[in-house]
Amino acid sequence: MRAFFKSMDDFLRGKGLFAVDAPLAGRLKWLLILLVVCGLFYGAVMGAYSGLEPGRFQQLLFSGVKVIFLLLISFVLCLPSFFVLNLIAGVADDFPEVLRALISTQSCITVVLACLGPFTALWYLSCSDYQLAVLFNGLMFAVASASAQVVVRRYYGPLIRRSARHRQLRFAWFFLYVFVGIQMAWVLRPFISDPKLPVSFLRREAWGNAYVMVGGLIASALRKLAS
Amino acid sequence: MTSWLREMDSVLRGKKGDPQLLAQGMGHIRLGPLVGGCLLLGIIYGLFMGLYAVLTRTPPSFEQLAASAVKVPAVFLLTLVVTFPSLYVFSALLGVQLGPKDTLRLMMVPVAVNLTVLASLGPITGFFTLNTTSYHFMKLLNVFFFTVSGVIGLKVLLTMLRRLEAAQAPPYVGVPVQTPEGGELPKLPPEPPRPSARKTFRVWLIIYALVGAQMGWVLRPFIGAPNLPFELFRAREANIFIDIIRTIGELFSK
Repeated sequence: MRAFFKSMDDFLRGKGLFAVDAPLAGRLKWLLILLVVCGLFYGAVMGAYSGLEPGRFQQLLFSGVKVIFLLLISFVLCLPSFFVLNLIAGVADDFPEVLRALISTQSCITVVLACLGPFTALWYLSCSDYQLAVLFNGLMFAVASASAQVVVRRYYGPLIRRSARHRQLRFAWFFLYVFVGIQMAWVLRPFISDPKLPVSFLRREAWGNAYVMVGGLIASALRKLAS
Repeated sequence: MTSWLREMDSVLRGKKGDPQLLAQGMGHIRLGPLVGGCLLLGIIYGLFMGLYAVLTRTPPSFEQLAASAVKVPAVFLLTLVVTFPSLYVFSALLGVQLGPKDTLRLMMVPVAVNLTVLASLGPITGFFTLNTTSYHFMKLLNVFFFTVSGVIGLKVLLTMLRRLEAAQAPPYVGVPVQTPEGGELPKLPPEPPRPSARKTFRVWLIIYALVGAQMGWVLRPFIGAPNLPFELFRAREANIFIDIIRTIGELFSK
């Protein structure tokens, strides 16, 4: 436990194993541990909306596992196209370092999500509206993704000094990842799970377009606030 | 108990913000006595808050008195539990040189000041409770006292942060600049300390205040509306900011 928190602290501060110039081998294990532990924790908090009665506890585990899947599958899906972009930009030789930065970003997202978990729990205690719970979690993911840019910037710093093209590529990764991530979250739903619906790992009608639905949710929430 | 009061006293006298002590870290802030002191002072104010339910109900609601005594310190400590992880993670990400334990020690100082000021306002709350029947007035009075004590706590924290940044800033070694004639220009002025800590904590303070207010709402009732039966917690509904606006409206509508 102590080693876990020490690693988390080093990771957040970019020290020791997680220093910019440290080799990937030693840190990869800890990056994955951080991702799994923090992802499971936030996912369990997300799933707590579904209720803590006997029979609904699986939702906590399902949501925890799905947060990890969401990040890892989105990452794997985006990686080939991002590699091609690096190749076209003429900076493919730097890709091992780019990969190091991107893997660290995944872990940072989950660490930030985990620290935001108590806010989500408080939100659930304050507000029983399902749609607002979905929106609040969306906001937490947005905050985590934006905060992880600190880590991206840290590891991308030397790359950008080498070639300014990395700066544009960094933005390209961010938009690509968020774009895919939102749709992946839609496919992997429910993370929060409506207490009126039975507990399930995936919805039967999993496929569909997230962007159309999120637009509808925002419009509906705005109408509610206005009335 | 004596060590709790001694620790609270040194917090109030600003001894914990001594630049020389801050330069050595946060070890001089002792968590145990501070938490103990906060619990005690929170309970004292909670008793004054809960007094309204004893005096305005027949039979007197002693359950509300006990519940308020527990809930006031709980609001502060639970707010810290909710906001501390994010404060630590964001401050570490932004390069603030404070470990988790030191961050927690630093955060306990404004909480202690907040609760001390609040407890000192307790007798005034008690006085108004004795001669006021308006529930809305009592609610707004308590909101006002919480706000005042909160603002004082925040000011103490900001002062400590300013001193901490100054104390932890690396000593600046001015390099004399050589002029072409061989003369020396005066040394450059010292660099200002990095503002990342203060910025992070300022943002956190806003979050802490918002979460604290909402935590109070989640844990309500503290005073106990005279027309409602005693409940440990009320149902999930609206939020504190909407309720404050509604209460102001109701206070002046009669």
